[in-house]
Amino acid sequence: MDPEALYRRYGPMVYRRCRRLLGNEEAAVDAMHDVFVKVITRKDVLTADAPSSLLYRMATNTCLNQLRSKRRRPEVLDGELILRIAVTGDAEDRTAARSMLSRLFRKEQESTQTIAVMHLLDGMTHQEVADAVGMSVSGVRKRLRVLRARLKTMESEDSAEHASHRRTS
Amino acid sequence: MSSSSPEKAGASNPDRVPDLLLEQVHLGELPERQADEVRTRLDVEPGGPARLAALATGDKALFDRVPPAQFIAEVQRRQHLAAVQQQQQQQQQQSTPKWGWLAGPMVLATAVLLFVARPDGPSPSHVEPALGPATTMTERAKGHVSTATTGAVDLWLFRKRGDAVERMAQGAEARSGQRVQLGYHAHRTGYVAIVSMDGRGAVTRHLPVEGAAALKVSAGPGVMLDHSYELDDAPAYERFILVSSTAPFSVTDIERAAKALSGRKDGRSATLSLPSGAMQTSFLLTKVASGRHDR
Repeated sequence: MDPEALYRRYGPMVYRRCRRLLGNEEAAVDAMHDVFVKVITRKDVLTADAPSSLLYRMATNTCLNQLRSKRRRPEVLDGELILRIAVTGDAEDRTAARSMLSRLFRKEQESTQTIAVMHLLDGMTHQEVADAVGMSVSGVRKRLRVLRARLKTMESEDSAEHASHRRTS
Repeated sequence: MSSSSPEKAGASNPDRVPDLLLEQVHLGELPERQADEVRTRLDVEPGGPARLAALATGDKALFDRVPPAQFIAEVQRRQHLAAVQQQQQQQQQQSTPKWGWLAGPMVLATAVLLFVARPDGPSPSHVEPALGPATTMTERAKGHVSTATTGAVDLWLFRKRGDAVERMAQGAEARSGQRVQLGYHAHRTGYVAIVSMDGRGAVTRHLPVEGAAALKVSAGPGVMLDHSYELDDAPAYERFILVSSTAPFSVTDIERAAKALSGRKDGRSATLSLPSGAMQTSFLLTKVASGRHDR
């Protein structure tokens, strides 16, 4: 598929994905171009029969990297995106999600970030995430399970540190 | 995170069809059975069918905004830039070229007066880039880089930190006392002007340094302006605006428009009122309190 045909077919999807994550039309157009620069150098995308999942994932990764850099629109990471993620679920989940995602963006590998965003932000099922990222359902569950365990560890550490501060203050 | 995480835990609306599935139905890339399931879900989702229908409208809107020919040109430009950066980084690993920072620093808010006082200064467009050929302007770019572009002309900013030089990102934080240098890269023949405005409302002209008319430029190597600037203590922001056009235009009009904008609350983001056919792009630096100066 030549670049123009690729753009005509998938450009709007990539643009919409970027706009949703970045919350800004101009930034979304910019990110969309970045995605296609990567796409065009990847033959597996150009030759895939139905590359929408791969493109969607690449768009997600590209935007998360931009958000993580905290240079393009830092308020998005700390504000809109996290809040959109954090309004999910019940109160317990909201707190956990906010904490978890802020840590994810700092430390976790891209694929794990993508999985978390697709599941927590996009509301995709484990099966749908698995289809999109090319992993097994059990693999997706495992990633999320590991994240939750890691989060609990961090929360425990935070609590211990907080208690220590209270004792010393 | 709740330990009893349901399958769709975290979804703002668990019954809402995820965007990816919606897109795949729109693209016809789901197996028929799965597509039918998604359509059934859309039928019962409030506004579901409208979401699907809106995709076609959105497709057209994007192509109106970014026509395929423009898209291809931009992708090719970025590929070229990436290749140049890679090449330059390889060269940089083999040597440690020195930053040829040009003339001494100026306080940005007073730059116009000082420029005018230079009777023999070469036209910036005729000055070789401080880092050598145009491509070397990107060689020290590290991490996230950013180019503001009108499509015809790119605008770049560089900052000196100690002995290192970094290409600045859109929205980067900057402090009073830091030195920045502007560069531009014309992709085709046209006319260019660069002005800046700060959070105090001061407007400074950067290109051309003299005269009432925009500078004529031709496609070719990138160009660094022949002065660096020392940021003053204006609060909130420094915003550099590049205006380009295929036709001559008055820089005086651009300065006037910038002054009008600088008095507005949305001065850091609103667009200039431009002559017909002219395009603009801006590069915003966010001013932060100066704990220390990175010179």
